[in-house]
Amino acid sequence: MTTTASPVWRDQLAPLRYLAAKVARVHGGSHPAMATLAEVVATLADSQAGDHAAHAALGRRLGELTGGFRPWSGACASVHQLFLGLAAVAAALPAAGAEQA
Amino acid sequence: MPSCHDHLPPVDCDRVSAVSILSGEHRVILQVLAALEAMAVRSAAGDLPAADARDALEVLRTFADKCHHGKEEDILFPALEAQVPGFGPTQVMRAEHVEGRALIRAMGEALAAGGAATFADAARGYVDLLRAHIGKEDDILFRIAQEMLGPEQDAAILDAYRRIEHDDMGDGTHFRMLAIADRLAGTYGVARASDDAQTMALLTAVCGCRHGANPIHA
Ligand SMILES: [Fe+2]
Ligand SMILES: [Fe+2]
Repeated sequence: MTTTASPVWRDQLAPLRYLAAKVARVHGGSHPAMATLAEVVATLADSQAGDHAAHAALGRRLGELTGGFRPWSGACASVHQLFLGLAAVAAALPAAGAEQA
Repeated sequence: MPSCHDHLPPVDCDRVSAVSILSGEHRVILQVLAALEAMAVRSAAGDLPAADARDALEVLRTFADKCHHGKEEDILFPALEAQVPGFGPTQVMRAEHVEGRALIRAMGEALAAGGAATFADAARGYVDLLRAHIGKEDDILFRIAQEMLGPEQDAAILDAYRRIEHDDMGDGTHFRMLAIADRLAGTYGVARASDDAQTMALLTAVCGCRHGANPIHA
């Protein structure tokens, strides 16, 4: 648990932990990458502050697992909302070695 | 506490149902109550943690009262009352919701006035009331409801919950409230309800796209 103000991406990610779990539960059968995505989101949400290299690596995984944050054809609103949110988180994540918190 | 309802099985939280969804939400409300209790201790000593108290009140107003009690009062309770006119237990639960709203108002007023001792009193009253209320629902009312509701009614109730959670409140609001509850848990050393896999499954079981209408998609 951090004692300093959390970076913006962490606040953005906290509700997405639930949305990712929901998408994994509901759509994981037909889109197995969503189960892995939920695990990556949970790991990132609960990660230690200051672990720049791990944050950068997990941010890259988010992009890989979502195909560049592009929902599949016919995906529901929850998937769109999740991918949009994760794209914002990935953009806010510091590059390795550059994180403030 | 032994009661005449002990012969009824406990709420089956391995299955998504009209009552298990609400029992899952109870665990989050209990998480916030534990944080609120810690805030009351600090407030009683003259140190009112205003920002955290505001966050707790937002979750209690929006998640506990509007969403959770809304599902109970507008959907589950009427379904039970339709089967047993004059059904007593739901009347008691409704009255306790009203009592809780008065205590939320009292906490809000104390917070606005900076009244640490008044806030502590109202917060303790609310914590005691809601813990007992949740106990009655989980141990008595929901056990009865589980027996009363058939599969079709259960599915219709879940569909109505979905309307409240997704159409009225929006996924964004629901999950934002859970995130605030988790931040408070971290601050006050309280366990997160969602760290329990079964609870996480219940909190995320129903999708606005309606693919999640059935018992847990595994
Ligand atoms: Fe209730
Ligand atoms: Fe309840």
